[in-house]
Amino acid sequence: MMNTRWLLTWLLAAAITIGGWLAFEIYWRDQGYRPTVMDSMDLWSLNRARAVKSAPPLRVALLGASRIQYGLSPAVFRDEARAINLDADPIMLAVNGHYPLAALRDLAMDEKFTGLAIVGIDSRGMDKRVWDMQEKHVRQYHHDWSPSREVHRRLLTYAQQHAIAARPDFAAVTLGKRMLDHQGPPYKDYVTFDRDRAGGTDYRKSDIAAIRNARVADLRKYYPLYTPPTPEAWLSDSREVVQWVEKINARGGKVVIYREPVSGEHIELDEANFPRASYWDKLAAIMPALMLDFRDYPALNIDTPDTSHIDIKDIDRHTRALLRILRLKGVL
Amino acid sequence: MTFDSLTFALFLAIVFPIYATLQSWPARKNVLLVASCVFYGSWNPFFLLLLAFTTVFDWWAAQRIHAAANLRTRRLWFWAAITASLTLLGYFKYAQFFANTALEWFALVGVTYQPIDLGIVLPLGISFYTFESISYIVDVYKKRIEPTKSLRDYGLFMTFFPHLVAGPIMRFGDFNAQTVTPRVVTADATALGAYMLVGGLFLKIVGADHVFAPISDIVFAADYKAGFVAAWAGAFSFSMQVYCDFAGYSLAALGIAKMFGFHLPPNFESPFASVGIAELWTRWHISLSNWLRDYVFNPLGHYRKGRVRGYINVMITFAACGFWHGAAWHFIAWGALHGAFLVGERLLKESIGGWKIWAVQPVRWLLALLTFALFSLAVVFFRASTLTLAWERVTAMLGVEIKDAATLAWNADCKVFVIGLVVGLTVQAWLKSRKGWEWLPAIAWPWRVALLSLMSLAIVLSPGKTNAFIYFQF
Repeated sequence: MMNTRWLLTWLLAAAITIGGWLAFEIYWRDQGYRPTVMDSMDLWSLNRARAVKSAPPLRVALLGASRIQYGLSPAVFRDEARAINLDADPIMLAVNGHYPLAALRDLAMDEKFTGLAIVGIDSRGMDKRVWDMQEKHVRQYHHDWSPSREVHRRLLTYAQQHAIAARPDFAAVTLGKRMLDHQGPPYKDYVTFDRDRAGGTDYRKSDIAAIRNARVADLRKYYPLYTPPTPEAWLSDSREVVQWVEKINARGGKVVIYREPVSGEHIELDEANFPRASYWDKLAAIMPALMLDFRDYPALNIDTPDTSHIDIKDIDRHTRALLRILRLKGVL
Repeated sequence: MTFDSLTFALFLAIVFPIYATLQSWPARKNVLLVASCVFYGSWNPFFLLLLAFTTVFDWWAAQRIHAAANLRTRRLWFWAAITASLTLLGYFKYAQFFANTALEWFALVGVTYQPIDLGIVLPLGISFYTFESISYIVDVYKKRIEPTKSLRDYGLFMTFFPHLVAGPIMRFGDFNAQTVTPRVVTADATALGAYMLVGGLFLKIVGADHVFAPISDIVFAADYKAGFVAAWAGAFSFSMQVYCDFAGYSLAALGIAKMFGFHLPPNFESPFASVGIAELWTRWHISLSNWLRDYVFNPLGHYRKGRVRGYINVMITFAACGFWHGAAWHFIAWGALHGAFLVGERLLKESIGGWKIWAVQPVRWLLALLTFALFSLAVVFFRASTLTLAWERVTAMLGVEIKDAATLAWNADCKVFVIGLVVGLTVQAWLKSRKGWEWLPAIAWPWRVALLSLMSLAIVLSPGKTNAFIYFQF
């Protein structure tokens, strides 16, 4: 029999811990915060592992940066595909702030990948200097991903879906540090994630003008710092990407290269530095893949409040529009 | 899986009830062996085969050593087993280092080659289990113990999951006594063990990851220019971080083993309350320092062959200690520095050790702080990613002015670190005279409740950081 005091110790401590956690949850929910899944390299690896599972269903790797991660819904894609009798498994592999060519290269080199890769990218993202941005994710998947991490990440995702306390920005010590620095409560983020890694930007919860100005200012600073390569050099480097696409095609897979919607100063700056006729169109002539530019398809020309990302309310429309175009072009 | 992962929580929730409810001791040992293989294989199933090979080969070789009819055959089997263990360790842990070093040396004489990436992945815990298998072979060879006929018992010794990947480094003699006699799972031991597990997780998750890591991460970043204050703050914070990280892991391991009815030797006993580096090594990573004493320092001749030879033996032992930690020059420098501290301390003790002032309590506190400062000075070589970076931080700590040095902001990270440092050192001073965890059941139960609640709540409310345990890389 357990010593009564040990029993009391554990029962009381459990009651205090559960009570404290509940009070924490109630307080922050009352302040307007909600649980959300936190994206991580482990969550990326969990999805990457799915991309090489055997078909059917058709594995559709959604590669890109924030415009894909916050712009396409795997759930809507799956449902729409089902409506046309296509068994598809869309897998979100886009990473906010990281151009995707390292991930495309990884899929090309992986003989098990025989699905469809939709690569959200612009001409700047094809510049060789940014090819390796997602290499950390790729390395994590190949070197550190394990059954143990998979179970942990699945359980953590479940916890993050249901508890604010599972969000790192609400860690007790982090909150204590904010208090010491008189920083007030955590920032109410306008970006949320689902367990499939798809995110959404809800601009109703943000200061759109401030975000837009900051984004444009960043881009204005970027281009003088990283002068674009000449069209010849850029195209020459891109021939390596062509070879990756050929590898996927040779296995029966397909690749779509998709220039997602942007607007305002953003498209003006992009066009000034990477004129479409000198870069994108030249690549389209040699790329053995469907290349889509949103400007050629009115259905894809969706409003981007901060010049670079569509709003959460438009994600479903964007996904459906893309799927229809892919079908029209014979990709699906 | 790591003790601070949700995978491990699930694993423990499945394995412990099965183990506790089974009546047959052989069946319970089978459960533990299978569970330990699952625990290890969940990282990389391939490396389970490597561990299985080492285990079976050493078990078999030990029997051949014991059964050998003459000394020559004994020696043959002994060296076969030792060579097998060291070859595997050498390949997986040191091959890349030796390749890089060879290229650097060739470059010194003007012969340059392309860097080689051998692409070797280090099997988790290989340094720990290799030392355990070596101690078994040596002990059998020296006739200190008899080899076991039970492959299962030897397998359990090697793989027992609480100590498998980061120690404490066990000796077969100590562990086997516990596998021969059935372990009893008692409610009190389970309660205390679970308490220790919570304590270990608190040290790791709250102390190491949230309180101390932020400062050391800033100061030891390669592009950070640390001045005098920042460099010392970084060194102190990393000393506390590595303590909380590894002592936390060890405490959790001891607690989990206790829940299953096993006793593992303590690995940390308030090291930062030590007076002198020699005492510190009797309180810091105890199972490793004991191993090095028994299997390196003593065979080298200890101090028996004269004072100077003794000093050389200390230096060799601690350089080996550094090299065991990591295949890089900065780890060797860290070990060698500790060797130099120990030699210096011994020389000082021989000349001025008899002074009465050393027994005065406030002086002892100052000496303990000096010991902590010396440990922190050395730990820079442990933490820095290169010897060059370590040297930059050490020169800053020694007062050399650093051009364009950054000022460490007095922000919440710093304030929390200072609070953590003061609390951490005070608690260690309080715990110094208390052996193990026997003091815990003796304190008034409301205090036990308060401490457990505080730790549990802090763990539950500290998600997100997924820093690997520092010693897993070794």
